[in-house]
Amino acid sequence: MSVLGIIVTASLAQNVVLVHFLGLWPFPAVVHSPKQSALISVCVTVALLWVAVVFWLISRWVLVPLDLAVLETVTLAAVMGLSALGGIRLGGQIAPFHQRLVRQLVPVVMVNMTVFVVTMGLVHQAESLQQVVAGAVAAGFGLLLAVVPISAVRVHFTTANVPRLLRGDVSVYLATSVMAFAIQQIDQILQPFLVPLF
Amino acid sequence: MKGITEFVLNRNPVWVVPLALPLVLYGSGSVEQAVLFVMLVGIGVPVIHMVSFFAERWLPRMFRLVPVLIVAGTVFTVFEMVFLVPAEGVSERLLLMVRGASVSGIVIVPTIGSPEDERFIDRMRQVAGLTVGFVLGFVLFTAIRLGFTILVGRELQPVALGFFVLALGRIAWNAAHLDEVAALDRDGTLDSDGALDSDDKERVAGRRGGQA
Repeated sequence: MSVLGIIVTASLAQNVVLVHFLGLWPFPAVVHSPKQSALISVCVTVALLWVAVVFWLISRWVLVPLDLAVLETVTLAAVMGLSALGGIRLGGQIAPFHQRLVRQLVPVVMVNMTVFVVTMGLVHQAESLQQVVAGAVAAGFGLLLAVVPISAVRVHFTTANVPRLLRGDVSVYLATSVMAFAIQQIDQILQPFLVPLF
Repeated sequence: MKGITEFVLNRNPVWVVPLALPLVLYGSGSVEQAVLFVMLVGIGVPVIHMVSFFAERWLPRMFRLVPVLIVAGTVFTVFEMVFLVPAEGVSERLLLMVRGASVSGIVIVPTIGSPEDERFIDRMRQVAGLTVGFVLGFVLFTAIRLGFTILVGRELQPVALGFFVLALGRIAWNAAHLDEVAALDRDGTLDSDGALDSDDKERVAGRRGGQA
């Protein structure tokens, strides 16, 4: 698949949240505000880029040559865990007065199914490191495209005069449902031109 | 038993605090997949924490995420070799979702949320609560989702339908906890994950104290 094909597929047609059922594990908590969602999406993109590149190198230089593909899951999980530790240390040095926030945020950003599934899918599909990088950035952009509008809807519902039954996470779920339906139409239009990523 | 009931009702990992959203949305697509994911979480998560609890004690506290992820990766690799490798025509996406379960919230939250002096029995109680809550919530979710599909007569967009069903579930949950929703809503703290964690309650209590 070409780099352009990977970018369009990963960011739009096969959006990580709206098509692939992936997402960070406290999903409703991630979409408190558009600013926070954008920040977390950028952090996830950086995490995705780092983990994808490291795992691609390990896969190409160690796992495949030694015929150890059965260890893929353990290796990727370990890479993510160790990267989270590194991230906590780095974040603690960059923002020493926000250590508690760093300790809460880094595991969410680094250890989630978006990072895991996109990385493994890219390593299986991509033929070069450039494609892995492009795919990781595009998937991160896809996450941003999904969560920022959803968080905007949530903020609107928080202040709008809606019945109590519809408060809280209900707005997040309904907004995601509508957006997923819209993205599916785009996916169907682009399907003849693009190969699914995974 | 009280801890388990708390996770089944008030902190259910499917309906209230969605720790395993990708697994729920994907796994509920068919009865076969639902059975697979019920086994994956029902067997896998307790086994992971039975082993990783002791592995976590051998390492400094800040490293506790690593052993749980390695144990989870190992357990789900074994699961994959037992249940998926012998089967024919397993899709790449199913394989990735099963492997990805090793980093989902339902696996890592008992570890990263654990207090320093946690006992083995406390961990297992929490894991049992999460597992039972997941299995019950997931079976109910799958039944509603498949019921919708049968009712409409064709396969609906899985994510759109999945989130719609979750929204219905949260509406029902809000209806059952109207007092708490009203209190949190009044104090502006409703927009949280599950809206009922201890931080929220402390903030609400603090604000009320300040206002008084």
